[in-house]
Amino acid sequence: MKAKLPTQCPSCETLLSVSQLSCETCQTVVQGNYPLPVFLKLSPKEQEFILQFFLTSGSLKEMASQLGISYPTVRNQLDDMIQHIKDLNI
Amino acid sequence: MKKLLNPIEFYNDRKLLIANLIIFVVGTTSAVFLQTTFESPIDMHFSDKIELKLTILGNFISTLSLFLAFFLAGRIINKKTRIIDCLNLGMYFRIPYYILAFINISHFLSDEKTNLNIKKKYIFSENQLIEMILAYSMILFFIGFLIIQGIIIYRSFKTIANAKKTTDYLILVLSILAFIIISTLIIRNL
Repeated sequence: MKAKLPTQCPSCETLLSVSQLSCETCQTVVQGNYPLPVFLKLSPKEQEFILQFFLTSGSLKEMASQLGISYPTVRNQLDDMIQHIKDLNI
Repeated sequence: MKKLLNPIEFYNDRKLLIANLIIFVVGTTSAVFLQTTFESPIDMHFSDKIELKLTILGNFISTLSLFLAFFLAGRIINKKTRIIDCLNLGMYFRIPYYILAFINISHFLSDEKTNLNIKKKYIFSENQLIEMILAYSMILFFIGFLIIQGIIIYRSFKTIANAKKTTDYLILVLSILAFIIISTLIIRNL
């Protein structure tokens, strides 16, 4: 099973940051305090949307036909995501 | 059912427009044969004497005014609202009226006959109970019809304008009311 990366604190729901990274080959451990990249702050559904958007060269019409929904529905999802990213104060 | 209540969310805009245009033409033609007139986007009458021009223009103006109402409200709320989506919603909203016109398939309903019954002070005649049940069933049917129409507008407008707030829907209601009044005035003066 592929482990899901947690992005929110299970206790207070604040966005988590990276405090430790490790090398699987030589076991080197790097410690520090790194904020999560914007992409990882988004929900898995939003991440999937961005990936689809990229794979269709940014064509909402093509995305709509691939997902089996209409153009305005895809456009609304994109608008909502833009607003969400703006709200993350980036 | 979900697709029927909000086709704009699922279907391709151009295919939907073609289907709506075909239904518009077929609906208008059947309305002529079923002696139906449309005096506003949410109104229909059956008459013994109908004018071809009135039925066709009435339906056209009703559809156009609905489109304008959705487009105006949509543009106020969201600048990205598209003409084709508003046109699709305006035309789709009218479909149940074309189906309702088939109530008069045997030409037993008309404003003239209703007025005559009211003057004679009997609407329910021999089989009173059956006629009362029929009348109440019709009332319930129309209430259900209006609720479904409301759901179609609510869901579809949410898709075409990305409406979320209560004020968005207030703008829509005001726009629809304004265009209902305008179109009624235009149709009655034809």
